[in-house]
Amino acid sequence: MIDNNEHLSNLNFFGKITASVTHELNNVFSIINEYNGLLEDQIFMAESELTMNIEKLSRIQDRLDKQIARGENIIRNLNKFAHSTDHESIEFNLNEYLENIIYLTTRLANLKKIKLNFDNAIEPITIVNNPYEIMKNIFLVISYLLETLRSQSEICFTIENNEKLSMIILVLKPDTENFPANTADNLKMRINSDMLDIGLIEPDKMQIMIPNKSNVNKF
Amino acid sequence: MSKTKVLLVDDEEEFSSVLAERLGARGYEIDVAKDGMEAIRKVKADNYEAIILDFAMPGLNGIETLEILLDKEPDLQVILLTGQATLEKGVEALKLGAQDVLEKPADINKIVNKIKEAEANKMLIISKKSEDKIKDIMESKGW
Repeated sequence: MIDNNEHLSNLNFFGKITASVTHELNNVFSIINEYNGLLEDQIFMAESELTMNIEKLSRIQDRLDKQIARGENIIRNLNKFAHSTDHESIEFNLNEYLENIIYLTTRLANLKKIKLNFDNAIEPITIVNNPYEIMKNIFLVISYLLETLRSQSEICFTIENNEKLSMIILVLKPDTENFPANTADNLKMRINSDMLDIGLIEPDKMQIMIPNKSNVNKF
Repeated sequence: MSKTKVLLVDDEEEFSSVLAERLGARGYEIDVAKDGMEAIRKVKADNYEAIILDFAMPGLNGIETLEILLDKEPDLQVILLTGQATLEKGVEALKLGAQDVLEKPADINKIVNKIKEAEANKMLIISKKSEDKIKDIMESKGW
């Protein structure tokens, strides 16, 4: 049974992600709507002038294809996110889920003019854990950093792995910028410490440790 | 006769570019800005009959941009065009002095009608200002 605070925190997480992603999807539909209008304009002109600008039509079709692909990508990521609640404990590729949550939070980061970069590992990093909880806690970390870092910052994510746990390494750019004082301590108060742990390795380098529960039960 | 000048402000540059093309085909002169700061710079440098402004943008959001624009030029006709129009935000924008709030995706005819209304409002304001100025001159001369 989850307590009321956790229930609210889950709702808040789902609300923020779906609000942001559906806004992005609405942008795609708005652009498609404008291209559709442009096609109507072209048809109207072709009817009155009896000529068709094939080059222009081809350009519109190409742009429509790109927006449809963008929309499909948004839906695929939202669907993956929604399915992250299917199992409490499952073997999954951490790369995929980290990429997913970074993708879903990119628009929020863009609004703050902060860049999120993910360096996807070549080999799958397979762990046993709760993918939804991992994503929620990484989201809490990213949200906190979006609140505290200055605009134009860039956060680069990579994953390192060993037998007992996986580590997501966050490096801050430009090189002159450091994580604000007490970042790790403040984050520890926000996250679920059963799911992950956080520590600063260097002033501009932080690690998020995620246990592989096929090997260990908790930190 | 000079064309009606409209500024489109949206961080979705592709959206602005297609809408600009469609409005251009309907006889409007369109300028675009990709964020609030660029819009403020453009409004300072040029005269627009209408501003079409997005709500959610990086840096200054639509409401913040609206406040700054109207503080500098209270007669500006600003139409908010947004994909996340909550009732509260819409009311806030109207209270601040926005001409109207439209939801994305919006029909082009609706947008054109709003631009026409903006143009008419601006003409009324200019004509009212001219009348007041004439009245002041006449009063100062004791006529």
